[in-house]
Amino acid sequence: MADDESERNPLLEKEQIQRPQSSGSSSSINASTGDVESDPIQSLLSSNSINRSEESQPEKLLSAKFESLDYDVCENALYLREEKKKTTKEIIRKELARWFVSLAIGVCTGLIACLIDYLIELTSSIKYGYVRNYVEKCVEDFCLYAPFLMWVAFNAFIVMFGAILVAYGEPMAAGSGIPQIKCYLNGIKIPHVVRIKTLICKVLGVVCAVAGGLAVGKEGPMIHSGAVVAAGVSQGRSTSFGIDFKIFEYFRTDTEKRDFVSGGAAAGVAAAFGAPVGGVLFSLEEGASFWNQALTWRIFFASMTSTFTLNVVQSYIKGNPWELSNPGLINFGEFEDSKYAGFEIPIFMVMGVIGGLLGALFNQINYMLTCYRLRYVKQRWNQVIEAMIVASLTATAGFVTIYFNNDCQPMKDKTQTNLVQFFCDDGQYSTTANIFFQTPESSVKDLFHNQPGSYEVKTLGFYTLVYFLLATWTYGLSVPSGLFIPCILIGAAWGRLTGIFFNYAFPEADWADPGKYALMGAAAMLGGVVRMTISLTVIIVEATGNISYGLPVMIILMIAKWVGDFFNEGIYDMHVHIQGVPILGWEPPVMSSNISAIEVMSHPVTVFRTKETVGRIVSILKADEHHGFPVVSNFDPHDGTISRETFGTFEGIIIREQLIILLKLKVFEENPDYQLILKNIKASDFRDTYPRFPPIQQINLTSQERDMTVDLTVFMNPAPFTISDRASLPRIFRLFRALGLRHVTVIDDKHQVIGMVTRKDLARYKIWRHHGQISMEEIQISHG
Amino acid sequence: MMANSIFYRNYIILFLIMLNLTEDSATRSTTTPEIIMTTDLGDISFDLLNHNSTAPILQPCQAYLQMFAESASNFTECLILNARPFRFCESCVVHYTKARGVYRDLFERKDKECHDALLKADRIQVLTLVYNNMLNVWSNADCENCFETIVEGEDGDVNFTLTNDTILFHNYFKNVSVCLNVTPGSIIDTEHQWNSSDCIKCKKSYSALNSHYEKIVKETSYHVCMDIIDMMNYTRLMWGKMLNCSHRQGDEAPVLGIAFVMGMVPVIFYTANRIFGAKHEKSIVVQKRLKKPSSVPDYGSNYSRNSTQHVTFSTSTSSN
Repeated sequence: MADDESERNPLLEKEQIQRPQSSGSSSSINASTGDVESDPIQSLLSSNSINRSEESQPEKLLSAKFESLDYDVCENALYLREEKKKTTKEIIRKELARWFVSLAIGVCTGLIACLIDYLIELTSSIKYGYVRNYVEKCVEDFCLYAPFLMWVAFNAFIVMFGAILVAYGEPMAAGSGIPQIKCYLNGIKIPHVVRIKTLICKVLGVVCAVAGGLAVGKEGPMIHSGAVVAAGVSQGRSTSFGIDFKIFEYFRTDTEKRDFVSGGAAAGVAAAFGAPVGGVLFSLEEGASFWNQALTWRIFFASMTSTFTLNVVQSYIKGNPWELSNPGLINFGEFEDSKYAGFEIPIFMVMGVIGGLLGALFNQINYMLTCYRLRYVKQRWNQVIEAMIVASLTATAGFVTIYFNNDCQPMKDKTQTNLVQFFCDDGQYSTTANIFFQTPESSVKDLFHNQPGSYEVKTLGFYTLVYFLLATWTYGLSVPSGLFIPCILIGAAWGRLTGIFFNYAFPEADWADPGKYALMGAAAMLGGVVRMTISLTVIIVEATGNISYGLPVMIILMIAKWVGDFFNEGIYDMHVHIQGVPILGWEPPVMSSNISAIEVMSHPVTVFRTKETVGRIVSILKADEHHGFPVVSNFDPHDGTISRETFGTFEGIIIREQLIILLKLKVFEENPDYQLILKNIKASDFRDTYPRFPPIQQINLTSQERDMTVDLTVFMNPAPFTISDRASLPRIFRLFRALGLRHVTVIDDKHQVIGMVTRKDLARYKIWRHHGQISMEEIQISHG
Repeated sequence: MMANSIFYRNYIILFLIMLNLTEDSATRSTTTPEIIMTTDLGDISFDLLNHNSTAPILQPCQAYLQMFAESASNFTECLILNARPFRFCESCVVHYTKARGVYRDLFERKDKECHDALLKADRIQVLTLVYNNMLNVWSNADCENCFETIVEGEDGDVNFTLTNDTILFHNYFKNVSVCLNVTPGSIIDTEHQWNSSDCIKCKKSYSALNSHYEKIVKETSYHVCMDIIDMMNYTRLMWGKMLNCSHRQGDEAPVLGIAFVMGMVPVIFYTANRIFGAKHEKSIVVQKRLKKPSSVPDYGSNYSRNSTQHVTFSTSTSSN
């Protein structure tokens, strides 16, 4: 992963330390700014001392390994030449191809959802079948430790496969993938996030994790899977397998790919929850800054296709072809008697507060665990062992809870299959065993729909506690794991407890339906943990198929978010920040308008002249990991004696990949067939190697060629976005966020380059909200 | 299940109204339908011919109406009388098949007249409603799975054969009943004197019944005929609750021991990692800045100072 890092601010680190001796830069700044501390050595020392004190808080670091995606079209001469040649036919074909790709994304995502579901059902029914049979046999023969050990072994063994797949196969497949997709849609290139290998590890890993009995769901990973499918299908090739279908070549840019990925994420949500509208809104909520109406319509199409495909295939699997009643992986079931009274809304609000508090606690525990893991559980085999330990503990907790909590209910309802009797008398079954001996999805349905009186209070209380602790412990392990199902289960359990309480307090009341309160509790818990807003509301409304619960769910989510935000941030944001991803929020940090471009930008800048020698390009690309370089005139790089605050007159910007391709194709002015090369070079030459460009080390040049020159004016972007040195941070932020930029050059009033602003320069200003206090601080950037 | 019981209720009420009961008893039936169901219905259904409708319907259609009324009320009577203990499937198969036959004949009639006059005459469509409820009860109870064949003869006779599994189950059930000297589910009586020796005496036949039931469950993939489910449920309940025969308990020591060991594993794991694990520290990138802000920019206290700095700086750059 370390070799993936490249984009950093265009400045040379090594030079920084040398510069004070070699040039007079520091003294000149001192002279111009008066007494402001700007001695680089001093600031270096002071920043180091800060670093040590902040080591305990990894989220106060930005990682340098993350790059931005390129959404800005490079309007160079080649691009214009290509655009001018476009015919009506090509435009229509491209438009049709977009729709076809959306269709394909929907169908593939739906099929993957079916595959996951089928494999999980198969594996769990085998596992629980064995354990159940042993329990029934041993409960009379005094050998209950046998099924216990068997359960533990099953869990640990199955989870081991998943953990190995993730830890050794593709670490990016761990977790729910929602934070990563969120970052991708925000415009950050997360290494490996949309690779086919990630998809395979994710799909098989999630089957192992769920079938292994961990407190995880398969819904979150579905969103990631949908995104990978979209990124793969839209490119018409697979670099991992070395297959190129020679189709959709025009979609091989970050802009197009990102559009499809947002569609894929939406299709994933649609398949996971049977919520096509929720899927569209999810994409909207997470990446709305580069949105348009036509794209939304296509995304909606992909979502609908995905849920329809799932529905059709599920109907065949369940043996009722074309009986379309399974739109999602999880189905909350119909709430038949869906009424609520006005006076219940305050009750729901209180539940929202509880959800917010529990969610904040959940996030806090998980945060501390994640910090610990980041620091001490780094080796791969250690991660596998940790996952196995959690899996065995999950089985242990389940078994012990069943063992010591004998909650028996008569077996009357024949629709409940696979009931476990355990210590109950004949004719009864153990509800505790039942809740643990099935897939989490079935438990959700039972909690929502079982008749009042199906669970004892202590069973639900135990269950809430045990599952809460297990879920906080599990999220962040090196297995693919969704958070939705655990949160829904915890919330449904304590929500049902609330319902039982009202039933007990008001025996006459027919409004106190435990199922309804279970749903509201689930919403509150989800809202408290993930802190999503609009899309979560719609997902819950769609998954229950119930519009009338819309308002209560919305109020609950709103309050849960407010209460939770008082203590910490949502779990996805938390993990994004722990990873040090330079994500840009919706709004510029408050209290930042007193920060000007001068403070934000990086300085000094590495620049190229319009006609640059090959030798200098190569040495800079090798020494440096930056991605965008301003192209300037009136600049002499070898003049190191004079102080430098400006770097020549700004002409345009050129990016690393373009330079590498130019070197590879040997587009040098001294080349004998220069004119021929120039005539034949196409914009697609630059697209062909997307997204994995060869590193500079692979370009071989003779010493003769090193003395040649490249004319960058043809290839650079002659009209990139620039910003004045007098602009404030909020202004730059909005420009970045709204246009999805990767670099902005800071120029002064004489059009001289004085600095560069990239995503990390902006993301280092962070707002902290703690207990009602708001403050802003600048965070450090770390390697790796 | 809830929905079903409401269906039954509506269905009975509809019958009563259809049979021109007095206003009085109809209202009584809505409030306390259970009482009427068990007491009055048998008599009422036989009054059918005296309460002929005055509506001008063609004679053959009228005959259909009467036939269906008769067969449906027979079915309903049978259904209710066999509700507890639940022996509905085997007891009412004849009535069910007959009533269904009448409706189907009517439905499939070519001449359309009776079909439309009786089945599509109004909004309520009483006949269809009753018929659908009949089907509902039958299929919810998975009655079909009790029978090998159900044949309706030309003359209206119904011949049926039970499946081998059902017959076998009945034999096992009989063994248990004979052994315990009581039919499970028939009495809800705690006064009965139970003998603790019964448990040992009847254990064998009980186990045979139990395992045969499990076999049926597997074969029908959880769609067992309700008669059998009910017999089994009540046998089990009696065995467990009243006879106190099921002794199910575990041996706590090994379970607790394993749980304790399991609980210790993560403690050891995390402590070991804490002590021996290499701590992964991140090195900080040295950022290149023209000017480092003196402290965390903060509104209020530092604002005025920062802003003056900016002014000084920007003027100095522009003067460059």
